[in-house]
Amino acid sequence: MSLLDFLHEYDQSLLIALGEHLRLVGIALLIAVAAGVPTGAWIARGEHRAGPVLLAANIIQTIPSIALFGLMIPILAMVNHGIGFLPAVIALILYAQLPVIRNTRVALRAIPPATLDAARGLGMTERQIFLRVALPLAAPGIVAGIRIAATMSIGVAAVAAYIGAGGLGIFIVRGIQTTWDMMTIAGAVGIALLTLVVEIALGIVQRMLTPKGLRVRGGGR
Amino acid sequence: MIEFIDVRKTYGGEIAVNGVSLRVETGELCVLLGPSGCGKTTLLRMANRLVEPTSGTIMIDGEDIMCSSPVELRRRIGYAIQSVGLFPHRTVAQNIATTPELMGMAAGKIAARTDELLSMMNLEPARYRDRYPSQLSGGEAQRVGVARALAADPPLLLMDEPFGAIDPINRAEIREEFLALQRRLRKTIIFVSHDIPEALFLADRIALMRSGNIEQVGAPPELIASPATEFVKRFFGGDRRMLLLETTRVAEMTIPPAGPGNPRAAIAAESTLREALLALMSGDGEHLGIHDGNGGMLGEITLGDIQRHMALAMRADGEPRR
Ligand SMILES: Nc1ncnc2c1ncn2[C@@H]1O[C@H](COP(=O)(O)OP(=O)(O)OP(=O)(O)O)[C@@H](O)[C@H]1O
Ligand SMILES: [Mg+2]
Repeated sequence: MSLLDFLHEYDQSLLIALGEHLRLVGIALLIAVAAGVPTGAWIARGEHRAGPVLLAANIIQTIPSIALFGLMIPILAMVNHGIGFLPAVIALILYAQLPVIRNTRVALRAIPPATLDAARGLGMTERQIFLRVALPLAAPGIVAGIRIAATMSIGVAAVAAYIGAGGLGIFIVRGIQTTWDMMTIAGAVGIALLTLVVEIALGIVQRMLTPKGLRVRGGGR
Repeated sequence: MIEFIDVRKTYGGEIAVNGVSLRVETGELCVLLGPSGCGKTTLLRMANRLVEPTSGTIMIDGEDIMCSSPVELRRRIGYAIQSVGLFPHRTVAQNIATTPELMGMAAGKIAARTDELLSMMNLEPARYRDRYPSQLSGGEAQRVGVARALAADPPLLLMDEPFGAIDPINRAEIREEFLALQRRLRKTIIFVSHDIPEALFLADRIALMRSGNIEQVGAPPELIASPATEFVKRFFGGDRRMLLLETTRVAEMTIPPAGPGNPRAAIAAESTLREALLALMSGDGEHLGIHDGNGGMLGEITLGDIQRHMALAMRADGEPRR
């Protein structure tokens, strides 16, 4: 049986698994961004907070995903969600924190102080400074962080199949269990392709969010 | 009118501004002059509350600036910052439009105002309005920064070395145009500089600062001719006589009435003593006629008149008063 035959035969379940994978990663990323970007902005404003927050995010990052899932089973079992979607989403959100927070902070701190000083001196409120000056200038850097989080999450989500969260990882898990290489390969290739597509799509978003004034250089006079 | 009353600013134990009192009248251009680190920027930035004074009071038109919110205050005061700080993601026109936009000015009016300011700054609107800051030279960016400070037509302007990055040739030109502009607009301006010729050229009065204190305040010829301290005297260097010739206008001298017979050459009373001296030396008569610029003769001067004026002005070679 060739890979193409396999894909043909299992197209329905592959599509379902892809859908699950996207849902898992998508929801986790949305929440991770909603939490991570403000956190990154918060530590960018007060450097003394950066150390502890980044340390915590770093420690989470060093826990192997399998171990994190394992840790969560007894905790979430208390609310009857020891396995499945919920622990998987929580793990992905936690993993995504480091790239999102770190990149947001770096991007905001890279804005020249003179630019922010001018904004203040011209009479912008703190809110206007953030929305009209800081955010547009930091946007490409923030999206770069989201890109890293996204590709990482797609990979980690594959492992989440072990705790019953579904997704393309199912094919890898089953393939290994049944020693059916074709199934493992189909899952792995699917995940690789998904990563590639998401990476390219977010790259385009990043480009679109890069202000034109930061793209043009030199220019004739 | 803006008045600083015993204003101090300390950072930790370091004194940046040490109890300064200074009053700048409406329509006056006051230059804060002094060596690097003497507190010019700090003093300036206390006027729009970018720096909060440790103690002291600042009044604008008789009202304590602490009575307005910082945001409201800053929209009423034009500010050109030392490091320019243009918004890199906004075009030249959008940069200039910042404060008018914040104040809710109509878009059409803003566009017209932007072009007017660009022309005023010697930047052809059609060529520059849609450029981004990364496409400007340092000097051009600085001029845009000045235009941005002027955009909302504020009566009070704070300008921190606004021409610092402009090359000497354009600098002289910009300086002249800026002075002509100021003669027309009569803004109240505090202008930071550490360039002596620039300060002498632009200032109605100079406040010469040293390590957080104002050493002397006065019109340029006053500081040169009668320095209050040894520091002031040394600051203007050895060629103070030359500086005095360059900064004193003929109109400030006593001009004797014209004698019989017309002098061959004449210059305007607005000219500097240096220009009068050159005219006297290159002309073939002993007398130089002085006119008021509108065809009226005010009198005539000789080399001796200039010498006498200089001798009086320098008061025993300008020994410091204290
Ligand atoms: N935020 C700050 N924290 C600590 N010290 C400061 C701060 N801002 C200024 N200073 C100190 O206050 C003094 C005056 O600084 P200021 O910027 O007013 O100087 P300046 O006269 O504008 O100098 P320059 O001509 O180089 O721009 C300096 O010694 C400077 O180091
Ligand atoms: Mg300064």
